[in-house]
Amino acid sequence: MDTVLECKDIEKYYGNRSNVTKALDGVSFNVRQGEFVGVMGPSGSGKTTLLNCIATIDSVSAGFIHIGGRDITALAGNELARFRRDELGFIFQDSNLLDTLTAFENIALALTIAKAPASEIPARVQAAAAALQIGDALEKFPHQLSGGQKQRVAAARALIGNPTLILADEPTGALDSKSARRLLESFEALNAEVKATILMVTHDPFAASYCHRILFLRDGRLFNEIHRGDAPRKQFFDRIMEVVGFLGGETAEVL
Amino acid sequence: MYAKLAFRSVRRSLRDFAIYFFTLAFGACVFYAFNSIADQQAVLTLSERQMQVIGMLESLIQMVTVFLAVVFGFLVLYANRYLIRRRKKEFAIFLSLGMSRGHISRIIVMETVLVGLGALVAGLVLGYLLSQVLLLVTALLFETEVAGFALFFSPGAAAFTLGCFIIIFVCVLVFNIVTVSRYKLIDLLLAGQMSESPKLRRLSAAIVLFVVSLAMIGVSYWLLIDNGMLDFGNQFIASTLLVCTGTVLFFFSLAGFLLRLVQGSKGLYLRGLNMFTLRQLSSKVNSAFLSISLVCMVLFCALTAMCIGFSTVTSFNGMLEKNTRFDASYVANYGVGQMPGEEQTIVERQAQADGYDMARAFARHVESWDSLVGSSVQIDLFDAGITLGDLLDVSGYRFSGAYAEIEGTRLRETPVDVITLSRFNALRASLGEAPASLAADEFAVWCDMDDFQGLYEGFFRQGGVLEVFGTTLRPQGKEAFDTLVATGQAGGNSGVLVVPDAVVPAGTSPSKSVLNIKFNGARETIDPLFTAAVAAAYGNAYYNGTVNDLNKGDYGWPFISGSSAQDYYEQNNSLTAVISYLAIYIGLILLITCAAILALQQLTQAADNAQRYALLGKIGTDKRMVNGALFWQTVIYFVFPLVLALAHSAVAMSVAKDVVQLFGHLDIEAPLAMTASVAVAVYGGYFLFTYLASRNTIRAVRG
Repeated sequence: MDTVLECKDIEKYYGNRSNVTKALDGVSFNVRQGEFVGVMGPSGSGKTTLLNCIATIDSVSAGFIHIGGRDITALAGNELARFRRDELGFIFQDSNLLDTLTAFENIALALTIAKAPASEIPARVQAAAAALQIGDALEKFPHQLSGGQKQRVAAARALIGNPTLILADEPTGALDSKSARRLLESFEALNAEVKATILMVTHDPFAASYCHRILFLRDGRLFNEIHRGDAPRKQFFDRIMEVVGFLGGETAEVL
Repeated sequence: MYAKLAFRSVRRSLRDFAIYFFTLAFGACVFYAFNSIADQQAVLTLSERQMQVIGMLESLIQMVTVFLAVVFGFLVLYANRYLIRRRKKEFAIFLSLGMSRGHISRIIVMETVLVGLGALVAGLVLGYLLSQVLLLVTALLFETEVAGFALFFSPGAAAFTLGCFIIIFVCVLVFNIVTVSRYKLIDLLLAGQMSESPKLRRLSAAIVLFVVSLAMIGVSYWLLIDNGMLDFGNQFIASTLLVCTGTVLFFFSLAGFLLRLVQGSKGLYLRGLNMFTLRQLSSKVNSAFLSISLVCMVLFCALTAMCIGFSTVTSFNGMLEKNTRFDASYVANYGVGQMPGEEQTIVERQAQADGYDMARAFARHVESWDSLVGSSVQIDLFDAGITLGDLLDVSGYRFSGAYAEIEGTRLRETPVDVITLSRFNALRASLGEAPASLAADEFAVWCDMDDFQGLYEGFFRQGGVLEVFGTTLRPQGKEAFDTLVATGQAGGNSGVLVVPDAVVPAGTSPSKSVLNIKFNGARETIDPLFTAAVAAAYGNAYYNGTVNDLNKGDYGWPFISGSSAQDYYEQNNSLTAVISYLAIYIGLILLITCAAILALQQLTQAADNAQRYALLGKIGTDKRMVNGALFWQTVIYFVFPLVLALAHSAVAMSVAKDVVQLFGHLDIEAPLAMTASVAVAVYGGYFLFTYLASRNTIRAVRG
């Protein structure tokens, strides 16, 4: 399978010469087409920085990031915006829907800014909404939707442009457990049916257990990596808990 | 420490303060400049009458300034609220750090004083410069020169401006302190969050309402045009109410209507950020439609005032040239002084003694008349018993506008006098116009009122004939002559028939005579001597323009009314000056008030929407596309009130034009163009500034 995302020795520094914080310190990994990868780690481990760098919202201090074969660290200005629009899809913790637009319009926006022909937009929005089971909520405004529905609208918006890579930042963070489960199930379905490649940052082991592979970050370094393989989800969850427990335990020792 | 905080916060948010500062400074500038007019007499050489006019202008401008200061005060409060609102987060931090509300109030007081004082000083400096320009304008209007030292400063105007500002700012301070003392920390901390409940409205209702609003505005226009401005009856009130309601409804439904319209075309709606722009507009206008309607109506007042100001200057100045071609003109009316039981009036008896020769009477009364007057032409008008009604019956012409109302009554009874060809040609010769010629059975028409031309043209077309003193005459030519009757009477001759000399029987006494005088030398040098000589002969009567006081033994011979060109000039220039100054003053202040309110609303909106724009950037929207959305939003916000106000104003002016045309000719095209260009310059400046500032606001958030 093709490699969609390739991170090579990426480093990210904050601060000035006298006081440097290394948020990312030589992180390298690949994500292949159709994978559902999770990134976990305690607070301050660099998960969000990593995601922002991949999302081209932030820039790396050293190293390279290739997405779909293109070196994104070399892009600038409107090229970046165009790249984000065409190659990436975003799902944020607080859904970030435009509150003045209906669900339909929020999803369609991702297509209109990419200058897709207007004639095919309604059909594509309907299809994406059907895949995420929000077909009946399309004419509603965000404040009329539940948290889970909002996240699924955001997922539809991320998905509709057929991006190379979907980036999700704590998508279940603001949801109750039932909505979180439904959202993750739809992610799983998207991944299986549409072959969407998903990179999800989370600190919730339950959410992470839906992934194929988990990368653990600590202090800006890749600390561990576990594969689900053919194991059932429950078993994978237990393995994740082991690593999380180990991470937590070591932190406890330091304290 | 607090002073430092205040100073820093002003410097840091200079961009936010900029529009506030400029508006304040511009207001102070205009306040000062116009109030300084009163002190202009110190450096201008003015006649007594002009002094009186300036005095009147001074008190009028002060009155208007008080009114404008109130309007302006509201603007300042509004602007101030915007500034405070933008800084809720900052105040929240101060409060959570343990600062008391009193301390925050102190910071705000210092900031307000700092900005207010800066704006006042800048405004006064600008106003000082503008007042020099106004001084030249006054000198030009009054046809006088600036005496001695040209740069002048008016302490009175400065004090008045300062007074207005102090009152406005005390109100602002009280308002601010009350606002801050009401804040709750939790509200302040959460102030940055997006509002989650935009008001919803059925869009189909918006279309119906929009059509209704257009209909209401249309009907009100029709009512106003039909009613005119002479009658402030029910129809006028209905028109005013309809146009106000229509305007509010228009803005209430505009965004929804536009949204629906564009939604109808999927190709347009689902392109770029169109749906975002329209949704933003409709969510904003839902809450702001009342203030936008108010802005539109105030804008309408501003534009109309400015238009009146400019049109007064242009049309009166144009008319003045035409109207003062004789150095002086006097009218004698032989119908005055009717005594019971006597057939002849007193004036007629006196005139008969002089052989109806006005110049002979003047020469007898006025000292050195012969040396002052170079030449004079007297025209005599005879009453042949013909009225406008006779002509109307043949012509079939229907008057429009203000004349239509009196067409059936007063207008029909207006006499149409007769003049002999030789006298008429003598008048034309004195103005350097070619002589007219008539066959023995022909007559011509002499008329210089625009509205009456159609009547005579109709009469000519119908081939009507008239019987004048027993002779049947047919009309000659197709048009009327528009020769000036007398100085100060241009555009006032509704029609005189020019007939061959033989038609008027010898010995017929005239009903009215006009004596037109040309001085023996330059107008500037002769006029004062002439004026003094006439005043000496007829006393105060000269200034009143009449000697019709029967108790004093004046019976109106050799004149009942008249004026010298110079006198006419001064009277009318003063009127021009008063009207145009006031109108332009009011117009300017109202205009900047409107533009500033729109600008502030738009800037507030940009700040409130910064998160939304940031999100657009995150999902990969081109910078150009986002700027385009912002641009169109600003355009719609600024252009619609202006366009509607311009439409209201054009209709109002076209009706006002009819009224003014009763007295003379009025051009509205040039003044409208001038008003539009000033409006576009001031308004356009605010628009550009708003667009650039909001672009910076959203760029700052996007990083």
